[in-house]
Amino acid sequence: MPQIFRPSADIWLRAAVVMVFFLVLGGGLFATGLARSSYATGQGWPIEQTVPFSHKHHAGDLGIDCRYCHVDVERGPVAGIPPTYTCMTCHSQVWTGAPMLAPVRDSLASGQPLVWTRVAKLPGYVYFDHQIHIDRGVPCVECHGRMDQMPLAYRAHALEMRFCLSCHRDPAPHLKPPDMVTRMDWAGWDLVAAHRAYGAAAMKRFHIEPAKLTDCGLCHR
Amino acid sequence: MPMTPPHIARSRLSDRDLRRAAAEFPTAFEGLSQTDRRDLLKVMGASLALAGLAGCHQDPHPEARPYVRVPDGIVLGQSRAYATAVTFGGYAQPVLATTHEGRPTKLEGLPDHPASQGATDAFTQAALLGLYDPGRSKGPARLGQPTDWAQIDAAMVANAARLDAVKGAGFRLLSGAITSPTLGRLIDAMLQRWPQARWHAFEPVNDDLRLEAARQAFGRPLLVRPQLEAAEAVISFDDDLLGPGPFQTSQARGWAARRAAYQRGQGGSELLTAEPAPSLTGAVSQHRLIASVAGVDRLVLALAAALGVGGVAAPALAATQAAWLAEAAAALRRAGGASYVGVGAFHDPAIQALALRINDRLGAIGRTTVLSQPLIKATPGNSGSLAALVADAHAGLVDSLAIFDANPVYAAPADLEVAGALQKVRLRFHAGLHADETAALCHWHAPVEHDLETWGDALAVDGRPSLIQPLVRPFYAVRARSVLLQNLQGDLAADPRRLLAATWTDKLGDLDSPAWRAAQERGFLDEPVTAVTAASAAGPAPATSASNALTVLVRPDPAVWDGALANNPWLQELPRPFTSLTWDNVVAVAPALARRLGLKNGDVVQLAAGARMLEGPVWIMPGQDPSTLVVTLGFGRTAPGLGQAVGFDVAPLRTVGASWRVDGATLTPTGRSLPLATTQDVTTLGDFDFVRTAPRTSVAPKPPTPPPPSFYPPKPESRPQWGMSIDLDVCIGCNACVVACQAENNVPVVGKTQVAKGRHMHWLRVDHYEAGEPDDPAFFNQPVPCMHCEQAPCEMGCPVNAAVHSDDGLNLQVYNRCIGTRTCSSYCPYKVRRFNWFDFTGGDPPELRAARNPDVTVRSRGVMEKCNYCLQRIVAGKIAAQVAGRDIADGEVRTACQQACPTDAIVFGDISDGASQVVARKAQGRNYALLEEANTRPRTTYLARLAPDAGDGDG
Amino acid sequence: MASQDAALDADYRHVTREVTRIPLAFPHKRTWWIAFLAALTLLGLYLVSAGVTFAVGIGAWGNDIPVNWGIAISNYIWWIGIGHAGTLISAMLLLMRQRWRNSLNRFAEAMTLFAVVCGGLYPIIHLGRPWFFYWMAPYPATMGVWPQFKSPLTWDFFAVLTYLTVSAMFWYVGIIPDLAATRDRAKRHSAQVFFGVLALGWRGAARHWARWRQAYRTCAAIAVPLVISVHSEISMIFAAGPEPGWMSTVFPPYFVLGAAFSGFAVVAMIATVTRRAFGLQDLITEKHLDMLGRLTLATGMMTAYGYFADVFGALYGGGRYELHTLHERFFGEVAWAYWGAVILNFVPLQLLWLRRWRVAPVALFLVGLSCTIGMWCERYMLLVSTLYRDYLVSSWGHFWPSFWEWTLFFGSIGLWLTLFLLFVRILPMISAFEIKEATFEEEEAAEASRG
Repeated sequence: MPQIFRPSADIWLRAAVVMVFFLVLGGGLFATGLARSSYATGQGWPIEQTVPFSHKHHAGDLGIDCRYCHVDVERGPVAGIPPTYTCMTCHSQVWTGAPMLAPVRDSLASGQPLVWTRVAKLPGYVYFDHQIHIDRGVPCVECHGRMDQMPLAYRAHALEMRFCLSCHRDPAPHLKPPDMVTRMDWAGWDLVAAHRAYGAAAMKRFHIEPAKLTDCGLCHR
Repeated sequence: MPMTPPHIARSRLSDRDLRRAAAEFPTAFEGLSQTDRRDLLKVMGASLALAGLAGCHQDPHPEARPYVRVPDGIVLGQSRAYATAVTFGGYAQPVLATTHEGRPTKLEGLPDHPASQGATDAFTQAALLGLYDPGRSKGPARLGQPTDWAQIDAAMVANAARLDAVKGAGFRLLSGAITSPTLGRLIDAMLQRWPQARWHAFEPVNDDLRLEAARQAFGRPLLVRPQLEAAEAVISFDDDLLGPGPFQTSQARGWAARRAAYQRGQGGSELLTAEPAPSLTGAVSQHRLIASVAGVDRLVLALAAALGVGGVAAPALAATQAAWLAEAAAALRRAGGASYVGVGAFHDPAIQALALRINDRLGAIGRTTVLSQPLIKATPGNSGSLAALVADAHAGLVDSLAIFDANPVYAAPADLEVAGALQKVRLRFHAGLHADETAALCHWHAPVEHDLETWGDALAVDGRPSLIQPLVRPFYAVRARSVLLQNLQGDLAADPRRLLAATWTDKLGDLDSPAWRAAQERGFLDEPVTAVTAASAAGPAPATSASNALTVLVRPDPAVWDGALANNPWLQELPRPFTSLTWDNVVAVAPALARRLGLKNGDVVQLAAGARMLEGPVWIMPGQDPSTLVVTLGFGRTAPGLGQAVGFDVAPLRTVGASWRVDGATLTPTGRSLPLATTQDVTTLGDFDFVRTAPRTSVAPKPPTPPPPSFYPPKPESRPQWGMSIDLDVCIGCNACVVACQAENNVPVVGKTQVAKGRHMHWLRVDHYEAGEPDDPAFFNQPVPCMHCEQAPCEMGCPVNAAVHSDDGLNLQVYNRCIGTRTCSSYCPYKVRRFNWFDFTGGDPPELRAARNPDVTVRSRGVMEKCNYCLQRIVAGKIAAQVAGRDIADGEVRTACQQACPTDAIVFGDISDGASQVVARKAQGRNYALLEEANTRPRTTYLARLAPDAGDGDG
Repeated sequence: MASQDAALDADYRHVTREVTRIPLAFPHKRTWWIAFLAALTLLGLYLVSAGVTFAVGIGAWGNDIPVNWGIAISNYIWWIGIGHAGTLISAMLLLMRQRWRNSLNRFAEAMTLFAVVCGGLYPIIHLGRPWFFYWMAPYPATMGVWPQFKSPLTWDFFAVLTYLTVSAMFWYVGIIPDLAATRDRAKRHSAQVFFGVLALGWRGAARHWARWRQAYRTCAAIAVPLVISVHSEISMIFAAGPEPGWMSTVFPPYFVLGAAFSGFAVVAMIATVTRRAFGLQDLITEKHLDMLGRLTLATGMMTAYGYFADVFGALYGGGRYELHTLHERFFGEVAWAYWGAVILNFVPLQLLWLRRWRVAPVALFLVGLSCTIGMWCERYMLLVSTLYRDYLVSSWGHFWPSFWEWTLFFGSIGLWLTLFLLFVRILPMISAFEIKEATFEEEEAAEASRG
């Protein structure tokens, strides 16, 4: 009886089987990769704002402390986007006529709020409290990255749950003296022997128990 | 085949709350000034942020609109509390109002106010939603058509000018009950300016009969305020001392205080009730006697005779009645002056007066029975009744009429025919929160400010003046009542704050004086009404009627009251005591009567008294007198709104003469039947021991017993460990906790259809049980929140770790992790978990979103939810304590239900702290866990109700 | 001698022809098309019902608190249960060298596969948020959390998935030689290619046979324990909850036996029907029907024991809530389901004690049908009677399946029918070579005895 397949068919079949296997595998890998990509998380993507506010200029070059504008960070759950009024405390004196600042002046004049685009926005079901983190000495840079080097603000970290957990499961290395939380550059901190012990000491001092830090109810409610 | 099946579409539509709200949405914020709109955007922004779980994909970079200038003292993301008050039945309910970024989100009792001591009732809790009610009228209207204030101002000015000429002849003011000194002052001023004008007052549920009784007893109308904290023996003749109403919180507090002392062994606490239908008071009394209204009257006479009150002959009594009376008399003799005898507010004044004489005879006046001038401002010469107004209108004496906060067209007895009378009036103004039935018959409708957005004052039930301050700028184009009163007199420049200040200048000085600021911060002035002493004069012995026909009792609804609250979804869906009914009123009948007529729940009957009749579904009420029927006010509203066409209106049955008690009624089944939505199908306790009774000795601590063995691994003990104790001995089932929980935790309202399907969402429910003979059972209330089992089956069942146990002993539900397998609920022996069968929250209009608590996630479709001991409060307390570097103090973290409870039945705290109140409670011998045999080791435990002491019974 | 061989050859050829002619030259196409269209209609209903549920939420169903599981879960258990017979018959009997199985195993396995598909879809459809169903699987999530491995549902996920994979593998490996046979008899080129590809180049070489035998027996060895474990595991959905009428140690065996029981019942139905429809009387002989009858009867009686043990346990334990649930089952709102299960499962079953009923196709079919319905009633009864009145009187409720629950149920039957009809249409549904093997060995035995 006539042959149905050419001799190579066998090879093709095997190849196809292998192909399918790798397609499935690759598909899975791609999905997980995509979920972690900066495309999905927005990590490192600068965001256009109505007023091109530069943290690099204000926090970095001018060395203005974070808390000058984000006044509530030490006393409340949210750091807060500063009100127009705060901008104008300086800009009623300097760069008074700058066209770049026109929206700010209009806002104060009209009473209409400036419209910003949130950068480090957590989902509605995540309750993050700045006050307690500042109080315990978790520096701004831990989550927000080197704001002092960002002309336009972007997410320094993906701010996924595993990122939060990485710290909540092992807080010690991330703790710094509370009075220095707004310091951005911690390079060389660990070179000092005493500093290396700080984390553990702080844990003891503040009665921080990692077991409790991973209670779901701490952030989700 | 349609993608949305018809029956689903129907069930969704019939969720009135959602539908109506959505319908209002487009026009929600009309007539806002620029500055208002700024607040509005803020609110909207907030509401978007509140969207919570709704939608699985959220914009990672949403817009943000910061303040232009932050108001003083505002800390972003932190709530602030202001002392103010909301009014109910004219009385002030002092509250501490929580606001988030300028949005009031929760009302708590004002802790240092002596009347409430920080507690609230269900009405006060629900008052918050009144502010955000999408059905509120949002601007002035002329003949039902939206208009602007200029028009109505012109009309008022013109009318004022004309009235000035004629000294106000032909002008009438009709208002609801008023205790507000400011409004009172302005009305007096108006009457002085227009001597010919007259003021009428109409409050559907009022104290008129009580005052009349006092007049008969003491010669002048006096307010009688029982001081239950001092009353060791309380005899209630159909007097619902603990029942719903403006006085509930204060009286429940008093009774609970006495009860607590009794539990500690200090003095007695006896409560005997004779009543035709079950009441909250009857449910907790040690001996409840079922008697018809006439029977109750006879019992009062008999008691008077037994105690030797002058001029009263003892009527004949049945054996059971005689026994009850003997017990009551004995209790009173034991307690002497520390007794209180009360007769229901709706009873014949002569009988009530007799009760006052009994109190006088017992020497209780001034001790448990405090007399004072009425707090509700009386019309000059008490001549200003609604009936008088109607009569004058028919006589053509009324030319122009202004109606404030009153809805006589709906709420007045039918035989008054208010609607017809109104037609006789040339010019009619209406001012109120809603464009209600009365507004529909007025030329002009002026929307007024809600108590949470207005300046004003009112007297609390103990006479202390509360100062009302606005927490938010009004969303809509509305005005304060005081301002409108001035507008009516042609004064358009009136400012509510100045009008208020003017009332108090002599006491507090001007607006920026420290005294004023202090009072404002405190929320009230510590000036209780001065008690007066009066001796009761012996009066004629009242006659008692003995009718064999059915007697219909008309009562205010325990949730929507007289109908003024019918637009409040929280209250409409609040399970009523005993019946657990929602979204309906019923004709309550005794089991015996139902058996005789072959009626079952939901059967529609025709209720007739002479030519007057109405139709409604019956409900079989165990423990009700067979010759008595009970119907409730507040339903069958016809004005557009949430309450429209919910239930049936009882006005057709009422007359001015017989507005609370209709004799000689007949009941005829129609053969039709209505579906009723109840949250508890079965209320008979049978031989189960879910609720327990224990002797008084069981208050003493008992040695702890080791827990039964278990396969669960032992949990590491750390501090704190949260737990709750609920004392069934003082729980009166008032539902305050249920609404408080709903407000605190953004619990959605689902509507009648879903409730009927068993899909109501209340995290905390009050179970009602009847034990024993259905014709005369014992009643029990049992609040059931999550038990927070230490060995929780739900946690074991969840495949994705959405039901988890926290280190401090909380049984948590992580909404954003839940995928809705519902295993947790299947495994829950207490069935306290609630599931989002549909998207119950997504359709909410912005107003309702603005009412939400931003500290609690708003749950989306398909996730399980349940009580979490107000986790957000625990976390807040924890952070506060940690920042301050201290431990959480006992009582620092209080759950919403605990905070609202007027009898302190609920206590929450750290069970690992030996000194905490909750530990002391759980140590008592009467402490027990619900379904102990399931060995789930609940953190929520109950204290058994105390059985009356042996020897109390025998005289 | 030669004549005998010739006769034997003829016999083999006859078997192969019998089996392979069905996919190649399908008899009475018209009836098949009618059946297939009916099945497709039901399948459409399935899709619509699922779509509605996804669109509006589980509220589309009759579920509530306390009965927050409805017929979705009871059907799930029912389907998976039915999907037990195939593997049991093939694998177990293969290992036990029960020759007679050969005419039944192929479509029994297919039936299993499709039933597991129908069942496996239910737990996903019934989720509140089905789009997150994969959270039940352990995968490296950015949330840094894993499934909760104490939960019976997590193990369901594995159990059903494993069972699906293994039975599919077992079935496919088993069918390869016959695919090759079909390929060789195929006339049209397209058919040759189709079957050729599926046959994976099977040439019937001795090496092929050796390898094949190894693979096939290995699959069987894996499959058998699965049969036991899967439904034991599924029974945990009930048994692990502290609910009266559920928390009983009898459940795992009770469920496994019930599963085998319903499975055999369905196989019996299919066997009788296909036998009739394709005139396979000499392949599915009276002996086969007889064996099926015996198996059904045996597992049935064991299931009956489960019922007895359940009632006895409640009475003997005397727990208040257990007794109450028992009372509910006897006299409550779902008493119809309880008595329905008892009667339909065990009354007609008694016929099978007599051979003349076992070998009567119609009788066997009807008994099978009654048992299948009876088992559905049982699953429904077990779920609802416990949940709708469990502990607190205050939270007692009701349950009435909604329109969309019923349509989803009938739709799932459509899904099964569609798959099965396609199977009988295009694949050899009876294992030809194994029958030949059997016949050959019988002949050998005959000769041995002769000579």
